[in-house]
Amino acid sequence: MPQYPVAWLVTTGRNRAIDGLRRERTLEDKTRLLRNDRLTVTMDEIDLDDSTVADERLKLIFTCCHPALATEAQVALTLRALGGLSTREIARGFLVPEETMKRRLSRAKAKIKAAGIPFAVPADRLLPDRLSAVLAVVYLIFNEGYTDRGDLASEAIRLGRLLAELMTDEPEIYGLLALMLLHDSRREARVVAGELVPLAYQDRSRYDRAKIDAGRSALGRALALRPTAGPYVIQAAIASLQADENIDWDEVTVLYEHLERLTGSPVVALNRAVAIAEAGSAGRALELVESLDLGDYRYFHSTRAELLRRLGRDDEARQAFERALRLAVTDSERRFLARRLSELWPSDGS
Amino acid sequence: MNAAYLALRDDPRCLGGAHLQPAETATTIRDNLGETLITDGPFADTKEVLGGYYVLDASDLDEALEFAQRIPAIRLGGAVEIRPLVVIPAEDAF
Repeated sequence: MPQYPVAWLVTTGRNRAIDGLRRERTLEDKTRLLRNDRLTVTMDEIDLDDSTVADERLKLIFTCCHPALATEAQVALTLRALGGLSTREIARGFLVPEETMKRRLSRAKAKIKAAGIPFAVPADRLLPDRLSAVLAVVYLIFNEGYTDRGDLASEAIRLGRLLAELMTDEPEIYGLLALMLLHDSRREARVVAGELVPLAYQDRSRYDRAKIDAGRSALGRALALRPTAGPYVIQAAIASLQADENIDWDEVTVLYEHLERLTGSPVVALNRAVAIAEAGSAGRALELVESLDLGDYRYFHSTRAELLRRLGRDDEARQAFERALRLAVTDSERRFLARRLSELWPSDGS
Repeated sequence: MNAAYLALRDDPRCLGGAHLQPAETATTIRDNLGETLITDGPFADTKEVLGGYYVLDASDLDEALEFAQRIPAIRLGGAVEIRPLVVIPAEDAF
């Protein structure tokens, strides 16, 4: 900032003042300005990307996932600039009209330009925060495609692979990649004939072995880089256990405890409750679930419903399934919940 | 229009001013339990009042954010909005 801001403001011709400031800039500053000018070009070329060299792609990821952009804009920009999806496909993936997605993208591009969001890999001290923003966007894309939108999930895995190629020594990148591969390995078993199949009922012969192997090797790489695991690495370790023939639910519970300490997230606590239930104590799991404040989070209600059902509290289970059904967002989830509900009717005399 | 703005600027009582870019270009910084929260968009809580401003010369948004994050008001429950200025430039066209 100028040494005397008010004096700077008083100067009659603002542009002349700015020119003056520019004259005083060092050569390094001038180079920085030049780089800014290039940002404009790069973001305009967003539509004909793909040939961009590795180094430029990495910068582009950080630009697209800058925290000064709204999350949905980060997601859309990342998919458009680095994924292989057209604006129409992204719009379809997120259930918005193509025009809306077009506006969202051009607004985001305009903000990058006007606000001066840098086209660069962030400085070391910013890197941990910025990298976790990038990983969050990739994971969000993956989750969007978790049940019904396999194309989005594949796109997220592609982005994860790209990141792992571009930054070879970040354990959390491998952790996220492993997590996505391991979850995706169960895709064919998770939704069958349009209906969600819970883990315990999945046909393991439908698991994609190659993806499980790739996921486990990414997990191994992450752990080799840093033995103290971050949140994605822990989740990948959980997913790896869940790909086993006989799942060690006690071990899964321990990992969720660890993850909960790291993130303080009630959603993680909810998952820990599921692990506790699978390890054999539905009662203790329900106690934990009911202590959580998760409002209208749909999996809170479906988990609670399932636990009530296992404990034979059918009336309450039905109510909870009904609420979960109202909150469900994909057809496969709806079909599964509707089936559970229909199973609860005949067994009840009231 | 332009002439009217020029006349205002030439009024000796006018000490300065700048044309802000539209609100869509704003970025807001807040404190969330000790962590800096950076979000897209302007600071819109009308119950609050504007308490001051800095005019800053930064080479990009990260540099502006770094400066803005040092403003103590953020730690006291306030928010800081960063808004680019319109640098007009007759000859410096797009």
